[in-house]
Amino acid sequence: MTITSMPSNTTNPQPRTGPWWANRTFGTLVLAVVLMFVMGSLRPDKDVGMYPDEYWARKITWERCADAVLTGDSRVLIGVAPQGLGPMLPYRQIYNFAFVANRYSAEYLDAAEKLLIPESRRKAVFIGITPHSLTGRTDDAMGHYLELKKMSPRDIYVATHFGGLMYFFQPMSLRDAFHGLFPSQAPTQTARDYRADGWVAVHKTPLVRHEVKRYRKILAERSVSQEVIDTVTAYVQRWTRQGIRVYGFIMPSCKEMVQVELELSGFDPEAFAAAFTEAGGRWIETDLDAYESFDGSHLQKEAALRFSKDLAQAVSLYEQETPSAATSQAKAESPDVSD
Amino acid sequence: MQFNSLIFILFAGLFFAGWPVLKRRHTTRWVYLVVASFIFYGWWDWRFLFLIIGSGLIDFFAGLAMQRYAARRKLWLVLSICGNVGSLAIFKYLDFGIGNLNWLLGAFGIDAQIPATRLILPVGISFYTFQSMSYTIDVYRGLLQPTHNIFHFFAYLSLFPQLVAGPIVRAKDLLPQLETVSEVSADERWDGLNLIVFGFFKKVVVADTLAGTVNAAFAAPELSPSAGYWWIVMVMFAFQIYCDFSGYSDIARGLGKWMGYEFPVNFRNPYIASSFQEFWQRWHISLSTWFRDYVYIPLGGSRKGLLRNQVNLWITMLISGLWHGAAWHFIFWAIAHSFYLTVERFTAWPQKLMRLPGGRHLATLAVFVLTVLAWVFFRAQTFGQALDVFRMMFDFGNLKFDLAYRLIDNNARNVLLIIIGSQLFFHLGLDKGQWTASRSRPKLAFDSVFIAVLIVICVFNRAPSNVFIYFQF
Repeated sequence: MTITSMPSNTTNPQPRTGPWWANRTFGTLVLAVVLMFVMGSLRPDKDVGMYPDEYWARKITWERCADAVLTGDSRVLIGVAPQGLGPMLPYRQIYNFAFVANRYSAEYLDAAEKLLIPESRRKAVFIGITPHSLTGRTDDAMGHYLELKKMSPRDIYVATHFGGLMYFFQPMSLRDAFHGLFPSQAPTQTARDYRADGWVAVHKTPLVRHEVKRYRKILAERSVSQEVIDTVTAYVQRWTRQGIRVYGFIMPSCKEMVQVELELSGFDPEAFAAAFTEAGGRWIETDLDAYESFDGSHLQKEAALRFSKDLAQAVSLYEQETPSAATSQAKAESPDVSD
Repeated sequence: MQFNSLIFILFAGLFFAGWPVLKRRHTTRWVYLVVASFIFYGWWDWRFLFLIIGSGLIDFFAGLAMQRYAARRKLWLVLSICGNVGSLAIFKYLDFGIGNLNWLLGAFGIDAQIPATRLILPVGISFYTFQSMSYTIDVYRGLLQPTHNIFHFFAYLSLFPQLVAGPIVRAKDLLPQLETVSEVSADERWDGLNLIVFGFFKKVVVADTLAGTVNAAFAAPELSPSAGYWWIVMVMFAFQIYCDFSGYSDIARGLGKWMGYEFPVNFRNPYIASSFQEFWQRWHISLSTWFRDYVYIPLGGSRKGLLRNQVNLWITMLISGLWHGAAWHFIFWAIAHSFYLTVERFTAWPQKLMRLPGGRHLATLAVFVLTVLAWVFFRAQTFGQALDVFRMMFDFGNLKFDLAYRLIDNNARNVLLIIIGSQLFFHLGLDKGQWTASRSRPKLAFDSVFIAVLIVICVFNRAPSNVFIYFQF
């Protein structure tokens, strides 16, 4: 029997009587279920924390839940841990609202703003910059955020409530199953942890630099867009006027990546920092190649925690300053809100 | 909801849990079927339900009126056909007509841009409209007694397994089946499982894997300049559309068997056909026979001479092209097949070729290659793109198979080899071997393990989900 053999007119001999559980159809289905559980349990890279589909479905529906929001692309998603920032900063709820292949757009920044609890007295937005996140939007590369935004409420419900089932039945190859059975034979070992605060902690070995080559290709075709930079600075200006503190920083990666991005993307870090500061934001200088990256772009889990602490330390210096005029203005506008 | 979705698996589980109990009494069974089918269909967009209900009500009452006012049967038939064709015209063809009218007015120097309506095309409208029309036409012809129970009628019209992409089941075949309650035998359960599993395999493993490469090829801003690449892409599309569509039909037939109903076979390995006449006896059989019985034969069929026969054939094929979609490239696809059939009729080239040694293989190959060329019109987004693809395919100076190898995904290549292998298996008649027909215990055990493994492959080796191609029709 092969894939196009439809046994419509041929029937196999079957007893027409007998218990339902003894028939061949039921037996085959039971065997299939057993094989599925064997195969599913052989998945090599077992993620922990939330199930991926549930994680994304919840994340895309976040609203009014944060005092501080982290924005950006996958480097921020993987590289900045709210739990690393939290202890040193005066924000109770910090959420990582970054997405894979994300680009800054008015739609995304509006969504990030909606995460802030209106009643919160201290509100902040952290803008993690990568040259890719400032490139213009193209139809062939919409980014994960815009893809997720297209999810219907029904899809979100299914992903939220059946995330475990969907994860178990995620496609995988026989090679994956083999590597699950013999982990030592797998070329890479990856552990992902989908956290409820939005951070995806990744630990991957061995360390490689594959992303540098990929970015070289991407950035050769796509460069930083002045329109996107203007959009970001316009939001910085708007938010600071509303009393929201806005911090900007460039996400670290590795030396080769920094070089490729400076060469090909058309990104001018100094000019961007100047525009950002002029718009009212606070610019944090980061050490771009001081943290361990597992692929040349994204930070290893431990490095992400270290970077988050360093970032928090730099931000806390600003936070200790006398409240800014903007903050005072915000207080004046909403005198009755309590902390 | 789509067959290849988690929600459908849950839906089907719930449906079949209730079916053995609720199928026992006529009205309960029909109401259960209608409710389940409306949930299935309304899952896309609940507003679509108004159309199917409206279309169904017209035909249900037209059927009753034909029986009661027999002298005016024709009037009721015309009303029913106008209702059905009218809804198709509005939802499917209005914007196509407006676009062409604007172009025509522009050609005469009249700049009157009539705005397009941009109505949403309800899923599967062409399928259930044709199914509904077959009811009133068969009642008119006296082949069928109209049902007096509205739930019985709607159970027929909206039966969820074949509602949105066929097979198109005639009222005279399905309405009597819905009146009976047959216990599903172990054989039927097994056959049903085979059909469902093979159907899913064709869709989620073969068609969806090939779709990645095909979609990327047609969506690229600039077509890749490699004849080798485009021939491979088009062969992939030929198998993608076949596996996508016949996969759906198989799943529908399998679900039907589990319910105790028999739906007609819709595909019989069309790519092993040695002539175009045979191809159309193997491809989308339920639609071909629908057009044969309700369009071609009423036009006169082959009874009025050779020339009139060809005119009837071209009319039927062109309507079939339009049935697939309101666009010129579908019409050109139909023209290509009409041309093939006419040439075949006048030259009898397949029969002549088959007299030569190895002629059957050559005829099959020739029919396949010509079918692949016709698919270019079907798949291209515009007529202009179809011409560009032809230009690439026949630029034999630029075969560039190395580029094709780089551009085509590994999985798609493997799947293509598997499907070509399976076609050869059938073409060489290996499916009729002793082992295939064997009823020995080892063979039965082998079949069970094979199906179980195929289920696991469908689950874990499925490609990213794509909508069934024929939903848009």
